[in-house]
Amino acid sequence: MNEKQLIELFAEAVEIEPALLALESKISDFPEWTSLAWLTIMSLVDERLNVQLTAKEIRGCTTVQDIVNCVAAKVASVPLS
Amino acid sequence: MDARLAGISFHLPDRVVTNEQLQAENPDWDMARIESKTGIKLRHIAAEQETASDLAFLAAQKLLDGMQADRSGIDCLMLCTQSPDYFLPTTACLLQDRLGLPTRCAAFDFNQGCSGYVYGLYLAKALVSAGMAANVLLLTAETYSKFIHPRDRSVRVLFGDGASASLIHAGSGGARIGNCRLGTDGKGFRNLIVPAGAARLPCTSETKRESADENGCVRTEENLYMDGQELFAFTLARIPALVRDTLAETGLTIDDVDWFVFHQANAFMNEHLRARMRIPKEKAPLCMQEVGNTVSSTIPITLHRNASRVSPGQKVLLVGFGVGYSWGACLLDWNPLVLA
Repeated sequence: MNEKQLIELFAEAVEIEPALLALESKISDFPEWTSLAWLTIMSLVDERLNVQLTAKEIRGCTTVQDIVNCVAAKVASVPLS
Repeated sequence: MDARLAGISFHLPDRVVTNEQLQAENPDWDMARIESKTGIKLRHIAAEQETASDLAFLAAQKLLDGMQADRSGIDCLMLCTQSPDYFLPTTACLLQDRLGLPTRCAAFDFNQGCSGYVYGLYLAKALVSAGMAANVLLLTAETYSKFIHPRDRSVRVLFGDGASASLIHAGSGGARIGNCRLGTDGKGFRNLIVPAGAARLPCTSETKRESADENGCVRTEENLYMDGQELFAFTLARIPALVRDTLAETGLTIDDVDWFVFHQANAFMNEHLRARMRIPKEKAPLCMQEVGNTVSSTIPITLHRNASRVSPGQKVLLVGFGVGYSWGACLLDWNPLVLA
């Protein structure tokens, strides 16, 4: 899974158009990005990548790039750019 | 000596709080979305003066009457609750008297939440198979609603009050209690907690002060607090391994089990867990739409509601997990039991 697919996965979880999301996007700019949306992200990365994100990691994320970094640190198949 | 689960009943308080009511009360909550994620439409809530022991009493009466049980033969009563009537005495003592159980009956509370029903079966099996008790009445009862701030969306939409009663005996009828496995990780204790009110943090004017978190959920330190993301991460990390290990100890795999009765946390989490373990949908019933998460009573309620579909000889795995963190699984070899 590459960065683009990862962004698409986040968009699917948050239920927004993938085109609206970029690496530099700020999570706080999306009112749809609720605590429930975070749970969906946790479940999708677990299901599709076998990556378990912790609540602490999630709280440290302010941009899409931050989440990509968190996931990439746990799975070899996500190249960083 | 085998220990068998001979009968189950449950009781829900009369008062109901629907999603429509919550929506009317809290226009800023997106109840349609919450319902689609949680799978919960309504929950039963105890009346102001109604306690966990009142609910447990009614569940127990229903069971003992339905089984036409000889009350004088009950030699152990255990109540699982985190919302007791008093700090002391143990609520089970009040129930021994109220239920007309013999004075030679042992009675105690144990404080567990979502793992509590599995804990109860584990304890009852140990007592019965050791010959220490012949008829164990296991009660679960919770009124989390009394801990919940009405403006705390994160918990108010999920939890409902309720109670269950089960009889475990050394007799021949009912489902045989097989392998049990329990686990604990107290590092997670802060993630589902009522912080104030006991000895560590007594109630003061400070603990009564309301504050809103970053999601707009309002609570005080005397209220229930739940970190949903932490609980979700804990569940994903622990429960698939718990299921695998409990089965492996008896040489079984997931395919060998006919029914999985999971603690009913919320539909989103339960469905994710189920799919993650590749358990077919029809083997893992959901039962929260009209009850919510009743903590230690979700497993017996789900078992009661689905027991008529279970055939003799089938294997049923019960799986509880949550507050503590505490978790447990227990295998049943099915034989028909009394549903009161």
